[in-house]
Amino acid sequence: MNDNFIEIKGLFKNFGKLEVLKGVSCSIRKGEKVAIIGASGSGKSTLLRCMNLLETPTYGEVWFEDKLLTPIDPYLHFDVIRLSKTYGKLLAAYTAEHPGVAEADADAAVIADIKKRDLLRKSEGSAFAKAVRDLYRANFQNVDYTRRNIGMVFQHFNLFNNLTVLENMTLAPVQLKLKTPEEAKKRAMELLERIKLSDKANVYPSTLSGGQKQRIAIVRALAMNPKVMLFDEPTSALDPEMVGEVLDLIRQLADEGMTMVIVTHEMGFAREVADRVLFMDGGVISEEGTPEELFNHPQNPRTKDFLSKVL
Amino acid sequence: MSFADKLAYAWELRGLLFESLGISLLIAFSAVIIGFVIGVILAVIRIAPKTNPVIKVLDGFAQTYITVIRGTPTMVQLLIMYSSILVMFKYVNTNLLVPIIAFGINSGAYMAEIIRAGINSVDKGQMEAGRSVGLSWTTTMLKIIIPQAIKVVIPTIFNEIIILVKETSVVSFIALRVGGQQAWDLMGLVSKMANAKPAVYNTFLYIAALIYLTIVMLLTLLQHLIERKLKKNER
Repeated sequence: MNDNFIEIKGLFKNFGKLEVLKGVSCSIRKGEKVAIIGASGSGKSTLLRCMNLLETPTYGEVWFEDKLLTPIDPYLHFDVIRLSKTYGKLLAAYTAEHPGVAEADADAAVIADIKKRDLLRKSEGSAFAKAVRDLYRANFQNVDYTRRNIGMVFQHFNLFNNLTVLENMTLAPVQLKLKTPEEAKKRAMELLERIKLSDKANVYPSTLSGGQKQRIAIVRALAMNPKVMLFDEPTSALDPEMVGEVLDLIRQLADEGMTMVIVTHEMGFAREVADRVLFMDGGVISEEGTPEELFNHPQNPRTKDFLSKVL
Repeated sequence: MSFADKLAYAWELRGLLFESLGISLLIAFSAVIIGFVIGVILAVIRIAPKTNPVIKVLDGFAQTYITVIRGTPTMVQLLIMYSSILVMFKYVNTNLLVPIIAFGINSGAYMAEIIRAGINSVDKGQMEAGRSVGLSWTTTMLKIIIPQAIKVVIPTIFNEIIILVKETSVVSFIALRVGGQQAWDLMGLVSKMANAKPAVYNTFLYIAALIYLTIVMLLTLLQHLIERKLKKNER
């Protein structure tokens, strides 16, 4: 057990021929507030959406509290690669070609070659298949179950249009039998009280302003008592005068110790709230550090270039 | 025969007219219900993510069903159903199930496409929001997506119901029996007049037209009431 909530390992995501993520690894620790910044199309939203599997990664693994959400990616498990037929063949060939080579060197060279050439595509024998299956069975957790613990806030709010504000907040806890309707209602009203919108409990989302919708979307996620909150550009679709109220609420959550990952264009906010900032560029995390390091002393020229345009 | 005499004759036969109207409506509305259920099921199968091999097979079935049903005339389907597939109903007292099932299956294909379009019109974010709070695909579909889709498709669904009500007039091509007695739908009765009493045939045609028109106007009224009721949810 480690204290990482979310672990992303070797993540690739392609949309058709377009490669959006090209090998991202990162982890989100308990209590940490992480901001992801970067230009449009750099893959930051896709990375966030992979964290709760709204996007299915093409390669790589996503873990939440030591439970696997994706299929096993054999390239990430050297023990598994060593069981494959291809490994056996290549190792024999390699040792024949390089007599007297150290075992560890041959092993490293062959594994690197297999990964580089993406060779594990066909049937690799029963030992390999069994290892993949066992690893999967031992670690897998249903993603619907996991998502209860991961709150998500969207750019376009995505309140359920056919339900009242109160129903929006009680639907999931009641449907998933986590709370009785009365308990769920009580909790929802407390949360609405907190954002001073309890008078809106029985209206439909179409009557609300953008800022109200987004604050309700946030408390809808909180109604599930999540361990982590993911924010996907929570203020990008808001009129400027409503940005403040939403950021205030997110800031409050941060102060209360909620673990959160925020994709944002609000650099000032990222700097103030985040413990760590990831800068994404071209589908990889090209720089990461504390807000102080990243904003004041960026090392990567791409980061410098980006910051000079937005700050 | 004067026009007044013809009307008087029709009035005398009002019992028969209402009975035939009842049969037409029974067939139409039972078929609408069957069609709607089939339509929702097929639409959901067509839209479900094709990750599971069972869904893939079902989707192939759904596509074939829709292609075949939309690709052949309703009358041909009805006659095939009558003459071969449901031939066993020939030997029971009432064979109204033949047209009900035939029209239900027919309508299901059209409803499927209507409902599929409705589901596709619902913002993708609604499904994502449902999944992000831990609801399953099916629960999100039932609680969030389909209720919103239905609202969108009400006008088109009513269009289909109206077409169906009128299209049931082709059952006059098959011999219906209710409780062992020969029975007619509305158009069947009118056609019968053509042989039995040619002088009033024309009058009966106009009467039938008026009756269909009235029913369609009532359906349109119902549609507007439902639309207004559903609109309340937006304010």
